[in-house]
Amino acid sequence: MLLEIDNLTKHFGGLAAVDGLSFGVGQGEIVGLIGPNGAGKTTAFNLITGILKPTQGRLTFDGHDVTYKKPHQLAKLGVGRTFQLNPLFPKFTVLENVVASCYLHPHSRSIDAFFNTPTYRRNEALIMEQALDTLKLLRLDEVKNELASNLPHGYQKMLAVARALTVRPKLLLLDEPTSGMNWEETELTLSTIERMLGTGMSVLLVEHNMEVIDICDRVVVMNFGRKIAEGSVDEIRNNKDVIEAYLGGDHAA
Amino acid sequence: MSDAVSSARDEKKGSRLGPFAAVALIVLVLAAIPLLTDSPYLLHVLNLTFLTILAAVSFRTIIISGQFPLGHAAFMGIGAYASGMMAKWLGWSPWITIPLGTLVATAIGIVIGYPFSRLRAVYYAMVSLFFGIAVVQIINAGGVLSGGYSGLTGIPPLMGFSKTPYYYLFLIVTLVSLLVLYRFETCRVGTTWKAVAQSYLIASSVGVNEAFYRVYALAVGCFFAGLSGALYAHYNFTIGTSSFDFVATMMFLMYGVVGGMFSFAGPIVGTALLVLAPEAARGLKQYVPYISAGILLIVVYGMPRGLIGLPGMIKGLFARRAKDGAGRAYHAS
Amino acid sequence: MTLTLFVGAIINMLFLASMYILIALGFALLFSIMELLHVAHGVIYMLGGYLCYSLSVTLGMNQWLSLVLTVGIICCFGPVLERFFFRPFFRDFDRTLLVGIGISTIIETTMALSKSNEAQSLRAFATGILKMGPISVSNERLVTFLIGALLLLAVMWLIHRTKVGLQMQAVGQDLEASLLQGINIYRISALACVIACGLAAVAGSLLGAYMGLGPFMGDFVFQKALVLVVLGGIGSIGGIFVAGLVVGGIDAFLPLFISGSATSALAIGIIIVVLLLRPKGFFGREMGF
Repeated sequence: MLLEIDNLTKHFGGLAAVDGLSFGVGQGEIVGLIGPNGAGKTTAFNLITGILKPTQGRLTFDGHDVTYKKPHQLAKLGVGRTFQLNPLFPKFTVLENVVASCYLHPHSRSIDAFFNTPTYRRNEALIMEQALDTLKLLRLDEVKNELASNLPHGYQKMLAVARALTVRPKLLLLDEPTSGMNWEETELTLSTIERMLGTGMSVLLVEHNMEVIDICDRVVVMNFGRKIAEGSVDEIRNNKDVIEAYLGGDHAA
Repeated sequence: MSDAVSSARDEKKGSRLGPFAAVALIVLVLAAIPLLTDSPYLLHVLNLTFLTILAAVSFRTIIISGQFPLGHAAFMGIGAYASGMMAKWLGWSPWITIPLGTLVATAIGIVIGYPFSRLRAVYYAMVSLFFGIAVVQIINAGGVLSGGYSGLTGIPPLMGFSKTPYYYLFLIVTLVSLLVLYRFETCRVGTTWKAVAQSYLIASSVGVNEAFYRVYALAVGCFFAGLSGALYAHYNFTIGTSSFDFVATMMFLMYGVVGGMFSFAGPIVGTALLVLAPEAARGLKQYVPYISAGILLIVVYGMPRGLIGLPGMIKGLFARRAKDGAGRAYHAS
Repeated sequence: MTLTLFVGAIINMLFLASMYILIALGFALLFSIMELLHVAHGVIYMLGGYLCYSLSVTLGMNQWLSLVLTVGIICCFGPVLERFFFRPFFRDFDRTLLVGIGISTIIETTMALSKSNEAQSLRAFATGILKMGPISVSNERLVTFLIGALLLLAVMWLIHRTKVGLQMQAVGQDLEASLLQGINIYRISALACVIACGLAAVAGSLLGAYMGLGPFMGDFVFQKALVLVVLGGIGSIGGIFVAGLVVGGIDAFLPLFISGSATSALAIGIIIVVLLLRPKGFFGREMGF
């Protein structure tokens, strides 16, 4: 297992946003994390990526105990993520967004950067090349000089993925990557994800769009911070508890 | 010859030779001034302007990392008093105490900033503000050692009593310091600062230790503030806390906003304007606050990008008008 | 330390606390609850003091009547404040700060230029001394304390128990959600500004009597108000209460142990240490911007 989540719990005051969550993501697997709004999916993401500290539980990534590690340390270990809200550097252009994100690979030391050494220049040239390639891959190269905040919503989401890829992640966490996208953009995102899986990357995906969930190997369903079901897409679709979780709210209303 | 981000931006703007030539020209003119004039007063004003520009630009360096050092002037004061007191009471040469004073200011800047580097930047703003007030009060309470309310006098001069040597020293130091700060900003370090300022979450998700980078910016900013203060101490031979209080920090902010915070040259232009303009109107000394406040309000309300952004703003106005005219004509047909 | 001295210090602490709280209330309402950085608070306070002086001393009106009138007039600044100084720069920290400073500078300079250098002061709002055994308290201090306590309770009641107060909290905490709820943020902000101006006017008048008036008295006020708000924590009026006691306590007890100019330095030093240990203040929540 690449990522192991063990009894992950997070309390905010008296409320448990995530309660005893346990599951794993294997090498080259794509796992979907679904659940009604407020189920704790984004909180789980924030716990996994080190933005929040768990109240209880353990996180293991690639053999390392990362329960209390900070976000930048996780990025170094190979965890990349996108953000659902505010996914970009708004004042940078598209190209700048990606280039600025290429912090780790290759990493230049401050001294090299300041004195403009050959190493630094080589690194920056490489970064520029990588960035342009990534943008071309995601069909963003035409807008590379546009201010990121001017982009239409779908493009912004693609840019967020481009950004997350600069970490050369072994595990990519995508937080609702296709929300607000039209059909074409969703297709493009799906094919990009599939291509990444082909390179051995693992993906953990939070989604509401059931057609995107279809490509997952496994699905974990959360509600009220707990895991209520886990299994293949078909198993989940027919799971009683899952159906009730999604529809139960309607009945109550 | 900066990082990929800056190259990308420069691709759009075209050659950078123009600004480089302008700067070279200005430096040449400045270097020639002592040869053309005898007035020690003019040299004095320019000396102070150089040091203030250094402080104002270092203030902006911290700002671009997303923090508001509302107590920045206090670090000038720390540099000034540390160096001045060491030279006066321990008898060390100013050439030694000035670097030491600068380092003291830097160290204290790091110590104050570190606990807040993991919180939202506005918290640091508050603490910085209080710290500035505290430093002033501590110095005022320093009795004979610091000169208390009446200030520290009898500071050993760095290079004698004539203004001219200081003029060239300050010109060179300021120039070199500005180059250093400019380099920081245009290389990857600066890009990372700007990234952290926009979203510390995203920055940390790509591997940037954003707490470290924020303290990094503080260290650099406080270093140059301390340097500017220490140089001032051994130039003016007398220092008082009134030069390093909250008002002084607000002046840095003002210079930056008036010139245009988005640009490196912003604080430079703003300082030059707001220091030299009142000098021209010296007869109306008591009305100076009106001038400064007036300029400030005009800029804040009417020119969001400051004076440097003015040409762009005017161009934008014309561009919009042209489009309107064309649009209307189209619909009319 | 004798008992009388100790009790005297306690009384002094309560008085100082009430004074600081009085000063800070208007500012806290705008900054702590609604996240509007009201740098010009000190200036409003100063204008209130001077206005009350003009009405009561220059025009010879009854002092309490002057107070009421002053509050009424100063409150009219509220909507102006909201419309021209807060609304254009909503959520823009730098600009709000600069505008506040610009306006404050202009007003303070005007006052400084137009007033002569003589020290001016309002007559005390209450004269006489209350004796309770070996302890005596001036009635003036007592009145200040009572009014301060009363207003503190009034503001706390407003914030926590009225619909308007809850709306103010909502706007401060989550702007978008408030809009979605149908709250008219401009109207609520204007109301908050009006109340804040009124509070500043009261504080300025009462303390103008106690401490005397001066064109730059606003700076001291702003500083104290900011200390209370940051120490108490953003979003909490109860925090202001605790912070007021703490700062009042420091200012009342410290001079008993240390004399001279070191006291103010040490006082602020203590505050900084507290902030370093507890950066969000006593009861604060995370700031929105």
